[in-house]
Amino acid sequence: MTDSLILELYWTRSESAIAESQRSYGPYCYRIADGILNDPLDAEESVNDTWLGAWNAIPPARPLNLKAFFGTLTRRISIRRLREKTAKKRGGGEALAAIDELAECIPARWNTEQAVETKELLRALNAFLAAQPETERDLFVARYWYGLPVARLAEKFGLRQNTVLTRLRRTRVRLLKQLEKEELL
Amino acid sequence: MNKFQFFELFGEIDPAFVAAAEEILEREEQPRPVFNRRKVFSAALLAAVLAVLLTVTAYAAGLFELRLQFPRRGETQSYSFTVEMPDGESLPQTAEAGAGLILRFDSQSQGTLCAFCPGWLPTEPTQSFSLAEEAGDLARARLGMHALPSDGEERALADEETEKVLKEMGLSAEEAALWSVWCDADPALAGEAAEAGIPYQISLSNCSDLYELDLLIGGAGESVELLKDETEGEERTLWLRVSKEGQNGDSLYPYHAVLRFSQSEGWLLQVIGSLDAETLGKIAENTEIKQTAYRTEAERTERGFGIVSLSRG
Repeated sequence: MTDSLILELYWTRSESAIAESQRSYGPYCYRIADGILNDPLDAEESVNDTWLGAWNAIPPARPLNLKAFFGTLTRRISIRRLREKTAKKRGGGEALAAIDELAECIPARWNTEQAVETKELLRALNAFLAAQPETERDLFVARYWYGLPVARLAEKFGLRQNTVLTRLRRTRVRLLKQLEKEELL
Repeated sequence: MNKFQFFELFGEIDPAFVAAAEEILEREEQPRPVFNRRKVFSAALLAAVLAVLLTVTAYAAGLFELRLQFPRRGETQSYSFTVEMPDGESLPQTAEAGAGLILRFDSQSQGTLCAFCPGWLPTEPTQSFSLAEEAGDLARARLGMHALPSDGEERALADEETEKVLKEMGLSAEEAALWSVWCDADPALAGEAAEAGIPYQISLSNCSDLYELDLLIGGAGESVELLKDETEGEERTLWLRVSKEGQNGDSLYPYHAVLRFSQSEGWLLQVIGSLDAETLGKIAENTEIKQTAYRTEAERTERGFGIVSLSRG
């Protein structure tokens, strides 16, 4: 089923919107959730929450790119679930490592209480990613958007694990330097 | 902003970047590939031997040997190598690369980790990775860690292992911080266009990296001109110009490479960039090299190959 037809089902409040979303994008969203949560049951719940989130958001939303919309929603829901798990000390696996790594890019002067101009930060992130060589960017996104383990990235990109780690670290250092230059507070 | 908020916000990046990464993740897994200068994979040389136009041999006074081979213009070098799969199965692969020059090394010795300290640079580097950071990486690799844990027991474990590595190097953390394993000047980091050239990039390979290695200078369709080849004492320095011919016969994106090779210690300093060969030569000449006591592995029993290129990351 095409994206526009699935969207139409949401807009007409047809419950088959969820079944069609699951059919078209279920495996994609599951992979995102499982990459972050590393737990099949939690991942499944996150995907179900994604359809519920979409049901509540559409209408009034009319996403231009349904795959990106579902993917972002799944990721957001999975991170929230991961935070809850972490608070309850139920582990969280690889994504926690990815979260810690990405946190190295947060400039020291941004303390945890301070609000950052998120629109501007997003602009800076996009500008930074656009300026990176393609492979570095893909690696960075695969690690920090999908939260995938380094071993899996090494297999997918045909690199040694140490090479993946080094390239990610270099990109993080570049991002930190870039963000330190920005006036986002 | 806390780490979860930051990670969550990263989820809002341009979907085009996410889709591009997704494409790779959906692909069949890639074989371990053509190059990393530290790559350890079994490799056997196929047709390169047939492609030799000129061979200049310089026998090292010590254990290390460097030979230069210029393939014919436009000729492709074909290599085969075996990828060892996790289940123990071997997967034969072939790879092809055009190259303007092949540097062939024979290092019959176990090496030690090297680092450098530039004594003169035309501009400040925008990125630099120190021996101290390398020690941290090596320590975490031994422990199977991906990143430096922020605190707690794991952090203490990583710090302890790093201290051990530094001890094996024979250096304190402060001393190790003064030496680099890689650095470059990249205007893209100062907000300029990513297409802008990289003035210089410095890296160093030690004799274990060079263990029976064919180093390809110049990619497909690129030609390499040997500007100067000088040997002084135990060191040999090569000045190279790499270019690619455009449709109108003009030279596209030329860059230079200055390679300083120690025939007694086996390291190879690589200074490449869009600056002129003389300036890169001055960087190479004024760069101090340190061999640490940290032993590196030389497990390869067959020939490997690598590519020297001017790239970011």
